[in-house]
Amino acid sequence: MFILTTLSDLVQISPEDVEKPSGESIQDNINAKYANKVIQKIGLCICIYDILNASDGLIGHGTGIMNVNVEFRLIVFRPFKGEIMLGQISGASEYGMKSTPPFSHDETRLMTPRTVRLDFFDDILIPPNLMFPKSFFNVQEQVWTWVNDGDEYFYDKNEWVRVRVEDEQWNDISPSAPSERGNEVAAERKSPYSITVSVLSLFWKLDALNGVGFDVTVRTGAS
Amino acid sequence: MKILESQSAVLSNYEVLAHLTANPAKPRTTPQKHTNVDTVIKELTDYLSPPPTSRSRIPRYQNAPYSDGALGALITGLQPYNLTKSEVLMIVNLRPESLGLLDCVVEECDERFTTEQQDEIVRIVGHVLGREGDGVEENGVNGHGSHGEVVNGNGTNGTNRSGDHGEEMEENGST
Repeated sequence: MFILTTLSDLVQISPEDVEKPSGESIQDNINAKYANKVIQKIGLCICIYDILNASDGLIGHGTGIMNVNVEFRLIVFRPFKGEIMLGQISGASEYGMKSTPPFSHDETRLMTPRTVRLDFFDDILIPPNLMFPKSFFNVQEQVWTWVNDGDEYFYDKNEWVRVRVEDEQWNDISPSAPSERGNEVAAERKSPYSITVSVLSLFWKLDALNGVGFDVTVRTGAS
Repeated sequence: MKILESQSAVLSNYEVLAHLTANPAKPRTTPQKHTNVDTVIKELTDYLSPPPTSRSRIPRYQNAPYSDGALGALITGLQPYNLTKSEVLMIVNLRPESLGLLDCVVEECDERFTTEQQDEIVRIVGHVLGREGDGVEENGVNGHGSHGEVVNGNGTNGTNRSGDHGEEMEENGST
């Protein structure tokens, strides 16, 4: 789930931070810049892991800011494809209900995302085609329901669920120049990094599923 | 910013949590406004902490506290099975206690290993990393009855038997 990424960057220590030990002020600066932010194609940065190397500080002319070139390692959240994680269901929706549906009913259902969250990361989606076969969206209850042997299992909100990472999407949301933006309406803000996953099992169903080996069939059906 | 190496190492959840607890947010002399790093560290600690301390109501099966030597011992123990690095990583993170989850974690598990070998892997994992219920109060949400059964290799779903539990405790005590 987590990796270490080695980066180098120019850290600028402002004069009021000079009284701190230099290692500490470098770490604070790096954390302030990177923590909880997504670097494209790298992942969600958590915090600094260690400092590998730091140059001498050079004080810029006129500002008093100390410039240090630092090589450091960051802890980054980047689950690999196929990794199994535990997440919490944060919501379910039927895509066709809020957009003009150019699809037939069935296809609309296929577009429906269901979301799962980790405490620190919310952008995890489960499209219906990666759910258990014979799952459907229960409009009345607004939950996804899985039918197994005539029993209905509900994917309630806040339920813990095991998921397998299937795909990742990157959206570069850095601002574009006004000339390129044109007069288009402000687009919906996309998330910079989101993950598509398939369902393995509901947490509380795990033991029962193991008994019949259902995880296996589900996995092959989903992938 | 220059990316020197996009992936220098892979960390298990346990190692990340160990880093976060070893480097707690320093007490500030002056009150500061809430920063990104505080947010993400707090949320991540919630996600990774063992259930009693976690605020996120994570299932108590998850995030067992490991001892320091556990990861090394696990890697040594699983050496003969030629598992890939990512498979071992997922085993460390998820601590499979049943064949169902092991089968999801290990690719083509049934073809690579016989049922006896799979049982053995689950047994090693439980032996080194501990098992659900060891020293943890049972609250009955997620009955752990089947785990003992799986270790014994008959794979059926059954009720909790206190005998199995005692056996596990003994095994762990001998390490």
